[in-house]
Amino acid sequence: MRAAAALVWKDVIAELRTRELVTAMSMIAFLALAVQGLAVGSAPAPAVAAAILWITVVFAATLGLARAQALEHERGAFSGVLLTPVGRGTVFLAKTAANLLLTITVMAVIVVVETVLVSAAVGGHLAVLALPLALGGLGFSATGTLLGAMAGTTRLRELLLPILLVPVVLPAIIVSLTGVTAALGGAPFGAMWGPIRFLAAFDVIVLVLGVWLFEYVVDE
Amino acid sequence: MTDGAGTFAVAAADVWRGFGRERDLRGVSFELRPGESLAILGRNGSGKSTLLRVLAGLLRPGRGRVLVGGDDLFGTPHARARLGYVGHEPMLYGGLTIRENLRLYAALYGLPAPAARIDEVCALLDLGAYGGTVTARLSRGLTQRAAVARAIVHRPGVLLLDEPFAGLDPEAASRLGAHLDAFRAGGGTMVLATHHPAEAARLAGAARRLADGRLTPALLLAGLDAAAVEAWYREGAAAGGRP
Repeated sequence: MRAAAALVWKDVIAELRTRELVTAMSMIAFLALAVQGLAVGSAPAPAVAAAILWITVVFAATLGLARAQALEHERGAFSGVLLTPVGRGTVFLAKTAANLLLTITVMAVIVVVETVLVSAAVGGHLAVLALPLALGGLGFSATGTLLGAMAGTTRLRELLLPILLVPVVLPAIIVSLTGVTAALGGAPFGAMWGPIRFLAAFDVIVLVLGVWLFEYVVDE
Repeated sequence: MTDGAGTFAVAAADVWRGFGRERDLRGVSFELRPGESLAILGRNGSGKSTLLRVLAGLLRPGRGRVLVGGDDLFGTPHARARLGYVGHEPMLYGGLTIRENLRLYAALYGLPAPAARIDEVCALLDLGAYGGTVTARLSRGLTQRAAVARAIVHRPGVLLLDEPFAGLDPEAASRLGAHLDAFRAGGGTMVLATHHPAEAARLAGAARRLADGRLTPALLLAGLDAAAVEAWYREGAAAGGRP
């Protein structure tokens, strides 16, 4: 537990010091939302607003996860972690938690900016859409952590992650999109149980697979 | 793996490792008891770094085993805590300060009372004034010192050093040399990869050449000076074509 906390702490400290990732992700998100907002006009349909939300999250979060993974490999830092007796599963869970913090932060920025630039309904239904969005974010972060470690052993690193990540995480994105669309359409919380159950199951499967497979992914 | 005197501190048993069709290591075997030190000499690309990465647990051997204190390194995660490794990269997070990096590694190794040990290590390597500096901004020599601090912060019993003096100024090299002497005198075991015979003569009790993926028999270094080790090294080059 102390090791996992230390691994999350180092990512938080490094990001608070440089603000490199959150700034870059937020800029990408802002630009993507501005372009999409201009394209769809004011007060788009719930499905369109939900799609804009997730498209922006995918762009910004993929960029952030790829860069976060690249930072792990600078100066051989991640090899230093692998020298220690900490279990690879613990390293995976800690890295997923750090990536989730990053993804949730950029999701919060996206929700605020989309509320202002694209659709006020996004901010108005925040309480209801938060759960499908957060569960989708967890699946996205966990899958990104596992595939990022895989891509990290190749020369293409930052380019390879988006190519691998989006197809694998697509089912979770589609289901989260369904939940977010329902929330933006004013559906009651109970109507989202189906998507939420699927997303929870997806997250559990990815986390279990990650803990199990991470050792094989990172060991050379 | 044990001998009459007890368990070997570190041992390699018929270790093979390759990349694609290349075979960097072809059946490397050796054993070191606590307090012993071995210099592995060889020219660039001879496989010294690969061997040390295998011994550190960063590369899994294709065949053979690495034992640390009698435990299989790849089957016993806690055996990793007995090893300290200095490689070609510092293995430090560039966004953290030296002290933050050392605190991180102290936590990962489960070190109790890390603050006192971090102070001790920083003082030993004369890093006190730079403890609050982000490692991405350190010079090459300071980065190397910080890397050594990272490798010893958890008090390992076995040090694996791959060209540890690279980039160090004479004063820092002298301090590190003195620390390594004290480490050996305290029962520490050391494997040093170098292509400088003088470093081997200064720090190790025995030397072996690594050529064509195989280790030559050991040359005991007691009483030999740098010139004698250099002559032995060059003799191997002339005989085998590849030192």
